Amino acid sequence: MSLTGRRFTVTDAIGIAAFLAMLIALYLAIVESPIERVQGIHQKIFYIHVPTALVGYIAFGVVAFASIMYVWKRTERWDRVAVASAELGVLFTTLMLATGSIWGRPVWGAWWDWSDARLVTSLVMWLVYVAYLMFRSLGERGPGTYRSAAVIGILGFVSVPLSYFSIWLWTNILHPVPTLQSSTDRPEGSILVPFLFGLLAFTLLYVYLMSFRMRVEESQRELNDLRATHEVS
Amino acid sequence: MENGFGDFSPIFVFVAYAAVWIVFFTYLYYVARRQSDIRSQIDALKESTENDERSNESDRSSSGDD
Repeated sequence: MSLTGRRFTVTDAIGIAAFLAMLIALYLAIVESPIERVQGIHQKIFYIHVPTALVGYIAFGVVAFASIMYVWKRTERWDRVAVASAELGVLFTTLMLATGSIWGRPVWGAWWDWSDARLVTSLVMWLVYVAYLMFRSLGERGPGTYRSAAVIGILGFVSVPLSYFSIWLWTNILHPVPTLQSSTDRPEGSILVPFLFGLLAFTLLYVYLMSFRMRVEESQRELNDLRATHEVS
Repeated sequence: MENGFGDFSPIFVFVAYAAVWIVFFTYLYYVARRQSDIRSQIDALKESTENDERSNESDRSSSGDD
């Protein structure tokens, strides 16, 4: 059911929905959301910074869940889910760190501040999952590597709540407690809709990229099996 | 809070939003390229395996004729 002769899949539908949701989220954030009194137009970065952070946390949660399932069931599919989600988690967290830095420059007067616990713990979380991906790419493909990667995927998840709760656990100069929770004098309704829509758009994008990325993993395994068969014959 | 672009310059907002869109499109392109590379390698391997099988069969049939 397609002009190119290729079958229209659920993944394609999610991709289109994600793209449209991203466009609507962009419109709501830039045009519809109010200009904040203190930070001015720079506060609009919030609508991409926070959703990318939350989707990054979800992606790392999926890594931990898939790793537990791999250790339990020893099914390779769970390992594929873990590696695909780790790559996407790193992508979303990279964007969270980058947009946070871009937001920080005009508002705090600095790109980065080592005294802020949220910044440091987020960077540590990012490094943990970059190390996870490096371990996977350097190790040989096989159950041994998958098992070790699953252990890293499970233990590495400790860095996620550490990053999320850091604003309550340590003194933060730059990151306040969440705006939507603590603010009493802001038009919450008008910032809540663009924020929630942004979160929905980035979540759809994550689901789309996950299924796309999983297809690559499955093709890679097929290629490895074919190579092994070819070498034997 | 002077930043060189004026307090309410939209440049930082533009850069942040542009970065997000560029990164996602670049990633999509990279994954699509990777998928098509792997698919073409799979096709090449399958073709080479089929050719090997065909030549083995013809070898067998020609030795049977002898």
